[in-house]
Amino acid sequence: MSAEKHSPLAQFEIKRLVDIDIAGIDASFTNSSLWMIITIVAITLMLTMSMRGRAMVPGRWQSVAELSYEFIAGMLRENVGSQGRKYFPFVFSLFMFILFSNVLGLIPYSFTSTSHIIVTFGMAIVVFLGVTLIGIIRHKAKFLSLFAPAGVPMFLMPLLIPIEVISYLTRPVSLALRLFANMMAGHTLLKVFGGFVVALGVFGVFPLVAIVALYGLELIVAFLQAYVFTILTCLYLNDAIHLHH
Amino acid sequence: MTEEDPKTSFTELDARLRAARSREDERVTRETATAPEKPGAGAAMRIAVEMISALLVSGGIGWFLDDWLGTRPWVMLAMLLLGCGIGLRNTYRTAMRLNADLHEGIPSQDNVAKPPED
Repeated sequence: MSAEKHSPLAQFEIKRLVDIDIAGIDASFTNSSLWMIITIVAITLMLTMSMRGRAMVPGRWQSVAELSYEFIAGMLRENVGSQGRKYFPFVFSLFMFILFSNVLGLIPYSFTSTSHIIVTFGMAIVVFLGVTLIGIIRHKAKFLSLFAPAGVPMFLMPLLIPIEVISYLTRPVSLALRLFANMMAGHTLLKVFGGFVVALGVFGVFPLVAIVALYGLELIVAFLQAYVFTILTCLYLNDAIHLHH
Repeated sequence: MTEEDPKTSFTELDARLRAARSREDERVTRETATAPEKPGAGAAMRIAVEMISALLVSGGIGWFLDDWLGTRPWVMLAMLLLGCGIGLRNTYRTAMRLNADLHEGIPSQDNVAKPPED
């Protein structure tokens, strides 16, 4: 049992499957890319196949598709209002992608693309830039009033505005960090407990029971983190559209 | 509807869509006054990250300012202090908002009709 081979962190290793080099930039097709594609294919298959029947009384799969639609539509309606409707495709794709890659990552021997901070940060920065652009386009210069809290005396402004600006800039970081940290921590913990099962021999049943419980917890976390990422996107969208927070 | 001239049917559809949407908006604003309860299980995870990311961002800004101004540790140290403050403030804010969300479902609370973001 070599230590490197069974390291709890070995599961996060990026492996190049197909080497691609575009003008000196390493754009290789990796296991992470493969699992992202599997995620997208799974979502597309699940949604299109389940909606193919278009039954008035939905079957099991159609119910799942309709429920996920309703869930995100309701979230957007509640947090952004009717003006958020046109951002539904983006928010829905975001939610489904995160949810599916989190859940698919729980399958043994699979790879969790959301356990890499560059992936989560990529999504977070798209949300951040998109929301900021929407705010600027909708409100022009008035968008800057987001950084000036109302009802504050003038002499405090030079102190408060940098604080507001920095806390605005922390948004993509906290968004990315939260998803990444939760996914990585959960998967590492599962692997560490898995190591205990092997090391303890007969008494390995105890960590095995713990793994079963942890696995359930990880399923909740997988859903919850997709939910949190999406609802924060909605809240940021709400800030940009309605300029209050 | 199928036999009609496509243009009028489109304008009619447009009008009907608009009417349905405004009806829906009314219903929603009525419904959100008695907002459903939200899962609070992710609360702790949401809060902890606020602190770290505030420190990271302000520390990072300080680092770049130091590089630019040639004042190696000082701006970063000052920014880290500021980051602590911002992190605490963000943490407090998130916690208060989650608290408000939790109590939203109870009608006796006076923050019933409050929007989720303070």
